[in-house]
Amino acid sequence: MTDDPTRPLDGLQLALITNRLEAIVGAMMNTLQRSARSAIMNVARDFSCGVLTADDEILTVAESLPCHTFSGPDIQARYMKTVHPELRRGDAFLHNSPYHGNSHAADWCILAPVIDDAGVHRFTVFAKAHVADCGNSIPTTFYADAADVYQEGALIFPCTKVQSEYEVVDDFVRQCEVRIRVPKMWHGDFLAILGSTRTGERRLLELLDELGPDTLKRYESAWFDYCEDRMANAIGELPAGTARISLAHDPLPGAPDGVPLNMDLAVDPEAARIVIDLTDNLDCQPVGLNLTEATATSNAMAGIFSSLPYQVPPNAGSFRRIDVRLRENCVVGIPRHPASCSAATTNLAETLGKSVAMGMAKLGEGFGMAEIGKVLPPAMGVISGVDPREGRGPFINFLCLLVTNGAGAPYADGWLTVIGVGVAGLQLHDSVEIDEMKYPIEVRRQVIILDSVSAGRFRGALGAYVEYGPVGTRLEVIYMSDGTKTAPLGVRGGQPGARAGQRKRLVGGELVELEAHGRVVLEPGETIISLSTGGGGYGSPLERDPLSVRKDVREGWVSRERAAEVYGVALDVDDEVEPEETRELRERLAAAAGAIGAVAS
Amino acid sequence: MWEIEVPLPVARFDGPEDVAALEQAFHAVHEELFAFSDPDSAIEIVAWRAQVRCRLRAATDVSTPVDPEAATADRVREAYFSGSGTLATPVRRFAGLAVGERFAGPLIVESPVTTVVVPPGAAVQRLPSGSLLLDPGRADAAAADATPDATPIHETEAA
Repeated sequence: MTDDPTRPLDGLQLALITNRLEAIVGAMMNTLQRSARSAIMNVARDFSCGVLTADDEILTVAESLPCHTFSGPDIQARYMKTVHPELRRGDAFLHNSPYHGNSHAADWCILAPVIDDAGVHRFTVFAKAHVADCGNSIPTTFYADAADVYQEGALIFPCTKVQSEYEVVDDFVRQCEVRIRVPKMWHGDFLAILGSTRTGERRLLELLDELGPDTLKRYESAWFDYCEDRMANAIGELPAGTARISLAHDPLPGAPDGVPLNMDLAVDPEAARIVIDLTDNLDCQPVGLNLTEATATSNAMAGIFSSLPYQVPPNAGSFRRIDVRLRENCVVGIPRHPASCSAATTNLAETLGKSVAMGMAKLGEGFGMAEIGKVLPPAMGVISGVDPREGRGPFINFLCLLVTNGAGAPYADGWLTVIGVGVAGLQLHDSVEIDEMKYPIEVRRQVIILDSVSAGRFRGALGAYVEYGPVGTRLEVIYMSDGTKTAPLGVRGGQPGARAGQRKRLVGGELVELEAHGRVVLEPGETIISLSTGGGGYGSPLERDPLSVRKDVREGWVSRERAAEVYGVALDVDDEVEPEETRELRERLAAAAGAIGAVAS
Repeated sequence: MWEIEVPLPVARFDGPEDVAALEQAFHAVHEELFAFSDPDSAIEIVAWRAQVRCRLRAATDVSTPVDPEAATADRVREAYFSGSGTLATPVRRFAGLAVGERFAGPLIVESPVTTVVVPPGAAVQRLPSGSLLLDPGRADAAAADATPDATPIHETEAA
């Protein structure tokens, strides 16, 4: 590749270097997935990797989780330089502090500066992974009702050196071995995260050798400009206006009235800018749901990226067009120590992300999304106990069984695999076989709840039913399910999704209702049941293509009765659409809805 | 845990030092692949791979054992198939399938290492070698049944 510093890089050079960098972050992801030990990492892929510039700007992120990557690594890299002003080749830092730029304490982020042969800091690589345990006072990595960081009990490393001259700091390892559950698994996971950063470093040093630092520097600025342009064009196609969306997280201990959330969105297509203001919210609360600066920013941005008319690479260039306004000591803002942010990536973070997409839907037909489903029912609980098989001993893991949650969108039904805005469908569901091999559990049933709600012109994903329990041992399950009180909403005339639920099945088969936030011990023969919400619908069900309704009926998603009552679609004995009857039915339902509307107003 | 392939440093293990050399070779390959190694953790050898050249006898008498007890453990489970909806689907243990018998979908075949889902219209047959022969069938299941010699396109190792 020619390197004429007087000329800007052309499109071909830009594309080639972009691909090289994407291959590098891909290799980092591969190292993590293939060498991690816990299922949450090597099966569910709850991790992310990326490259930052020497100025701490997000340059390339792997196809991974928005809540890990859109904002956070940049703040963390800046903090790294503040506390470690002299960076040396072979250094690596563990940074999981929610008060200094990380997402939440269970996401272990390792940062490694990439220093070239001349001793100049050229890039920083990061790998961020959800560890199976982070030393919390109870066996979960999401402690919803922790009053503060002391009750939460997570081990917090505000950018602590864990490797020097490529040698792991033994003091750090010994400290973790006495405070983190299942230390052998932890150690393997730690080495995998570290290896991922070293894989990235190695490849970047090769790239620096090959292309030289000047070309790469010019690439950075050209790539950022290109992505900013692309973002500006995308925003130019959005409807202008402002919208406030107010949602609430269900009540939990520490927040008996629930946690309300206000999101103020302003889209200015002319100036090609979006402002999200989150300052009109409560102060930090005595629960583990407080967001971090990283997740408040990332999830707000994830809501925007999921609403753009076409793909825009998420990096410091495209981010220039977005302004997320936060304030200090705010439950959806910048946390103040010692507020607990144990669950900062999931519950309220999800509420925030989807409020942005709903705000887009409010601004105009054909934009945004309905409300994505609610998270962390028992299907996504943290399980722990002692595995009696071959004397395997203690285990702990964050399960990721079936939670669907996709919301109806302007041109598509809700996906069955979204899970949430913050993971954007990129976290994978567990393999039941692998879970049952790795942990002493049995998944009795995992199904979509057919004919549940979520109707719309494009319907939300239906909810899911999951039932599992221990085999030959006791099993502790900790979960914090949102959506038991409030179902995810439809937009533009779409209907809400289902409500969440959780039950325990006793040995005799009797069912017992459980709290929405639970710490449950299952005896052998008992099971826990998780009912998750699915997503809301987009647009009126009376506008759904009758052929789509017919397909839903034929495949069993929707019953004939609901097809008539909710969608206004009449089917004959062969499940063919009766056009005349359908038209009449839809007119009648529309008139009835209008009458209700008239009474209500 | 994960598996990586390591070339053998020696053709024959003559002593503990040869075993140690293999161990070192493992960590070296691990370091090359993943940029780290964990020399304090134990290594398990799960497979040996070799390229061998020899004459094969006519393999007509190969067979894998059928476990008659496994055949009695069959169950029925509701499973969703695109285009057909939710169907009552028999779940059979691989170990209990009789060799040569044809089993029509919808069907789930479970083994300790994998699960094979056979959609409606398709069929499977266990071969004497322990392989499972999947006949994907045709859109019209009846037509597929009428031609039992339909060309198989996929062979799955399931034991």
